[in-house]
Amino acid sequence: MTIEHYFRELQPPAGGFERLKARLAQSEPKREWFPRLAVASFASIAVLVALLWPVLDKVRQERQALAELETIFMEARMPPLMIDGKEPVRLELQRDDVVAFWLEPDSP
Amino acid sequence: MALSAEALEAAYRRLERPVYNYLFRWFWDAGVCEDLIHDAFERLWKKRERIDPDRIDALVWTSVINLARNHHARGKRWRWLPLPASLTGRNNPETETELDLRDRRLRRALDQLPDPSREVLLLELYAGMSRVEIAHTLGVAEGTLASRKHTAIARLRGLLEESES
Repeated sequence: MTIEHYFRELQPPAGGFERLKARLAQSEPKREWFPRLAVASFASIAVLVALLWPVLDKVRQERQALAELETIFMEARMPPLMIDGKEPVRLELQRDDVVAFWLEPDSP
Repeated sequence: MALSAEALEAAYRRLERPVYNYLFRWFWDAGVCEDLIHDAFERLWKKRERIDPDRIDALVWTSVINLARNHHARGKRWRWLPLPASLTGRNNPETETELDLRDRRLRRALDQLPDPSREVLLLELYAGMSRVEIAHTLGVAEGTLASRKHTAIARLRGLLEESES
């Protein structure tokens, strides 16, 4: 028996193209709304980021300024900063750009 | 330049049978074969604005080959166990025709071929493309294709003779 003898020609199920047409017709509406949805989502995200950007940027700037300040105090070759004979335990950059120095309370 | 609905239909009518025969020798299931054929044509239809109608046959075959590879790879990971013959009503020696037997022998033999050899053999049988076109579609050299085909036929012949005896 030759190999070709095993490969008989099969007939696909009838109505294949009609089923394909129905499937394509179903997927077409999705095709139309999908790009609109994608554009709308992208635009919404862009607007949200634009609205939040000033707030986020201010927070970022404050953090950066604080980090710079800390670096200056940590790296400066000068005697430790003393206030009333005490070393501050914490520094804080306040909203009005004033640096607050926190001291240990006096022991009773 | 774009693919029209008429060109799509003509391509479907022309290629459905050879593609179905190609896929059936991978999956042995009419429903799976039709789904994959429809997947391939749907993909092309979605890109219809950029498709050259003169290249539709090669594009359908490329898409079918890729879909078949993916489906076959998934099937290897999720292999379903066949129902016992008593439940399916098939493979009953009394009702089994010679064709069923031949198909089962062929299936067993094809399953033992390496996938690239099986692919080349089935494309040569059903794609109706020249050797150069098949080599181009598979992205292999013509020499590689010829060697794979030669090995596949020799191995398949051996396996079929073994099952006949």
